[in-house]
Amino acid sequence: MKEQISETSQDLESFEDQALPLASALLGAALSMTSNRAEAEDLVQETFLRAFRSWDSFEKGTNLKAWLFRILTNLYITSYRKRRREPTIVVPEDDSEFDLYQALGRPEDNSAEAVVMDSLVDEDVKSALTELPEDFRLTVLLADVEGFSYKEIAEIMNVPIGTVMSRLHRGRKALQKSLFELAQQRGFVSRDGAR
Amino acid sequence: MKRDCREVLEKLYLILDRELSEAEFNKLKTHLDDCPPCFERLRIEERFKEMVHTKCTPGTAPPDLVDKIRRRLREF
Repeated sequence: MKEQISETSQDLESFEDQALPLASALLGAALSMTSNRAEAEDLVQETFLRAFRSWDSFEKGTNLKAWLFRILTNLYITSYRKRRREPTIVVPEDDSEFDLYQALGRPEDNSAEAVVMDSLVDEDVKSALTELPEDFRLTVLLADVEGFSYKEIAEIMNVPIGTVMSRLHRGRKALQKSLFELAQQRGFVSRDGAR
Repeated sequence: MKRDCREVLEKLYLILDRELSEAEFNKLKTHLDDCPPCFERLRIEERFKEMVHTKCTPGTAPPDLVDKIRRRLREF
């Protein structure tokens, strides 16, 4: 009995040491999923409880971060998704997609995209990402913010790799368009390209 | 547009995200080094991706959240 207790506490310690440093990344994703601080924090807490409950089934040496993100995503889909408000950016289904390279207008001038990108503060990019429809938002977040590979994203979101690629493509284009237009509204970009 | 340009354009995100095999990448790299517009497209995508990463990476989790998780794990 004694041995059992100490084994459990060792387990808890090793779980905490490895998993808790990932709380900030999980919270960032949860915030992007729910757009609500309290709900995001609940979601992260539940994720850690669930993860610890199945800690035995985690294959040591495999990607812990991807494993935790998969639990987070499943939990979000099953328990939280319905509560979320609708996003406002529309991702076009056809090929009339945005081309940042063309939009910048003077691609030979290295400063063109610097003017646009430097004009954006953290909150601009975060809220533009939040405005993307969910599947696109999560895919872009997992790839560009968290650095997961296509295969890992496919496993986390439980979709084929082809779906990851198409969501990433369309999601990035829509994000680029929205941020480019924001810079344009603020006068950092003229109709002919960056100033 | 040259055939190689079209291939780079089609695989731009695979190059950007390092999702190609070394052989596939090297083949396209030769073209990228010789074609300023393709090189420029890739560079802009790289900058954009880097910007999203930098501006959206969350700061450290609030200590009271981490404490709450620790407490709940112990109650468990």
